[in-house]
Amino acid sequence: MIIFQNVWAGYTDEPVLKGINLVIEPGKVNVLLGPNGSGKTTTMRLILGIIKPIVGDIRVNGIDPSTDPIKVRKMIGYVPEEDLIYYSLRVREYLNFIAKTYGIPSREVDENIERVLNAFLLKEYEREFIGALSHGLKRRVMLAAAFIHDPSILLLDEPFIGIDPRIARALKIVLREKSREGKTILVSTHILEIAEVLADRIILLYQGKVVAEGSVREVVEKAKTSGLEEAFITLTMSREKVVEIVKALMG
Amino acid sequence: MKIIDREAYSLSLIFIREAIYLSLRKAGIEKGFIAYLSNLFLPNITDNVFVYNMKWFVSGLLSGLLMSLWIPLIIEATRLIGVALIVIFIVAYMIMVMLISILLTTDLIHQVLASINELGLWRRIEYLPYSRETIEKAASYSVIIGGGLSLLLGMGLSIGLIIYTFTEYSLAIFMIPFGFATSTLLIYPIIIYLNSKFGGRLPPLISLVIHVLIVALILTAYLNTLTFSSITEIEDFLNTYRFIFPFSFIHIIVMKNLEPYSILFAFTYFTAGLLLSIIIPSKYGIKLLSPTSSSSKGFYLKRIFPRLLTIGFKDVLILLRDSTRQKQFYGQTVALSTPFIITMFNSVFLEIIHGLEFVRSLFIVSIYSFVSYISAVIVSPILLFIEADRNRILYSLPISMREVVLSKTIASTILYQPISIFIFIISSILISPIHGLSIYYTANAYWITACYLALNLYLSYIWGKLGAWSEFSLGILKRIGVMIVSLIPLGILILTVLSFYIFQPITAYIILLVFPVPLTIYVLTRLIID
Repeated sequence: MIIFQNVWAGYTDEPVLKGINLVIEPGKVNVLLGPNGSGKTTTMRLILGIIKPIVGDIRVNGIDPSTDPIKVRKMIGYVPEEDLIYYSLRVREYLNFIAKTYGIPSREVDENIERVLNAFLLKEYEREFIGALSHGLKRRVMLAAAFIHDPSILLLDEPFIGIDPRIARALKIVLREKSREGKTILVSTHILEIAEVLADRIILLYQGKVVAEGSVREVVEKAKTSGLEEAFITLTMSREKVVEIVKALMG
Repeated sequence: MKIIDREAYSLSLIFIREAIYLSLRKAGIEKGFIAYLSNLFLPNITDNVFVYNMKWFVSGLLSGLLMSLWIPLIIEATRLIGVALIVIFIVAYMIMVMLISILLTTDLIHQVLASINELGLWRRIEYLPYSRETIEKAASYSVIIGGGLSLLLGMGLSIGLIIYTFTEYSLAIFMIPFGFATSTLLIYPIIIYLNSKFGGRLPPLISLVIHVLIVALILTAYLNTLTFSSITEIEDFLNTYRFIFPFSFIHIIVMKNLEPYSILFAFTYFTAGLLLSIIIPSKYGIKLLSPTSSSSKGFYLKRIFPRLLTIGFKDVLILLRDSTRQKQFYGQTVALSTPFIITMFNSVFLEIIHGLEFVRSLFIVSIYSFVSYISAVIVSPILLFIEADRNRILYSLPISMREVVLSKTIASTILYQPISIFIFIISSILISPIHGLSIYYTANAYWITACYLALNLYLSYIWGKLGAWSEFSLGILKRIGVMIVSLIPLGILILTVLSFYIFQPITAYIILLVFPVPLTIYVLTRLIID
């Protein structure tokens, strides 16, 4: 379980997150929604202890990530939005490095690598330099790395971007299964169709605040709209912005 | 105290490997002969400490071999023509090479830290269960344990071996690598400390000043040693200054015995370096990693200039923000200019200049334009190579090859201003303001001419090709070819020197002034009418 209590956080004087309170429970697929700059990635970086809150308290399975980030990170499988991966390593080398980093016993390393290589259809690329792979394949390697130590918490930042429909479909199924196993899952996405299909619970961030949370139906009801896209536009007060963008693009 | 953190050590190997991979990537590391060589020398994640460092050691041996290959050639040549005292050159070279090891270490540290920071190598693991302290330590280890020391040891050994093979200095085999290791161990903790003090990034100006000072020190020492006329004079010099690094090491080699005081000084330097290199990363709070955001706060590009100047300023800013390229540009230009600047402080030179007829003296000092021309041919391609990761952007913009040449010529001339203005001030004070102006005009006019010609030639090879804008992709032969072709006009210019003897000095001086006018006017008018 991940708990945020009145968390303010950011990188400069202007905070990105402004006093958010959240409880991310295990056993559910939690989907983080919000426009660019609303604080989705910052939320994940706070959970990982990469940045510390200015004010407020965070607990990840009872541990404060700002004081003991190593312990927290060991519980987490994280897929960042960018390609934060070593290009000079071959796929197997990278997975080996990640497995050892998470402290998987040596005798189990190969078995785990094989499992994720097969799961993400990477077996034929295991000897390739990651730098030579396509964007989609790099994302698959990052997903494989996040699953290698069978973490109790999965933080996936835009995991569906760049991967082919087979993997996307499989990932959705796996996330559902993992949530049933009692794992804590937090996925951030811009693709509302995926959120609609995947989410047990949606957390909608706007300008650093949680503006709605609950099931898809609860969020749609709160916005008094007919679908999630409409609810998103209403709750993030983006209707005028959309009109502006259209006008600007149409000249 | 834990001397080496194993976890940080493993990470440092990955940092180094990644930095090398990313810099070689454009050369097609995945295939062909380069891939074979890379596999041979690139440290592998599965290599153990010994194998890893051996690969660096062998690379160092090869570099050292290349650095000192001229020794047997020169010795053979001097034997053939019967020139005495070649040993003065060898000693001068040993002093220079020992001082160069300081520069190599400084460069190595800057490049490793710049790569780790600018390529964001540490960001790729900041979400993994590693403490900040381990990652910081890994960054510092990357420099020295990640191969730096082995590289310099290998380099020192091959230089020492060559010196021993062709001279009677048997102690060079031990003392040169020992000196290289000592300079590495002395410089490493200082730079690590300074970088940590400045929050991970030595301000570009301080870093540049350190670099330029070391280059100037090396050249001054080298030129000074060359002025010695006998071995006794050198021995006296080394005897007096043996307490200063690296003279104690050279003293032992030249005296051909293990003289106790020199040994004491050499070991003291080595021990001090070793202790500091162990203590600083283990005890002192290292802070080498910084966010990738721009370090040049408040230094931004506004489009208030004509188009070409704006495009040129973009290059100026990129180069000034790229600490490695910046040092390459100014390091080479300063290295070429230093002998000229040092000469101006020489009282004999000044006496000669003041004793000459006015035009003749103007002509003599303005010959510096040749140095300026050669410098421009050598360093102007750096402005092309800073596009290594950006040429795709360049191709998507409405800008022609000619405009790229012009804008980069402008950028390069702007970047050259601190040096030409410095020379203007020095010569104005030491000789006369007219001499200062004459040098300033010729230096800049020849710089512009050389840049324009060299950039035109380089770009004709790489324009239109994706990913071809790097030293690696251009190839050494092509680069040398372009340099030779670019220097041809300078060959024609040598005629002006001859005309100095044939015609009146005023005629030679006018030729010198007029020669770069067409291209300078062309570049400047394009700027105005743009």
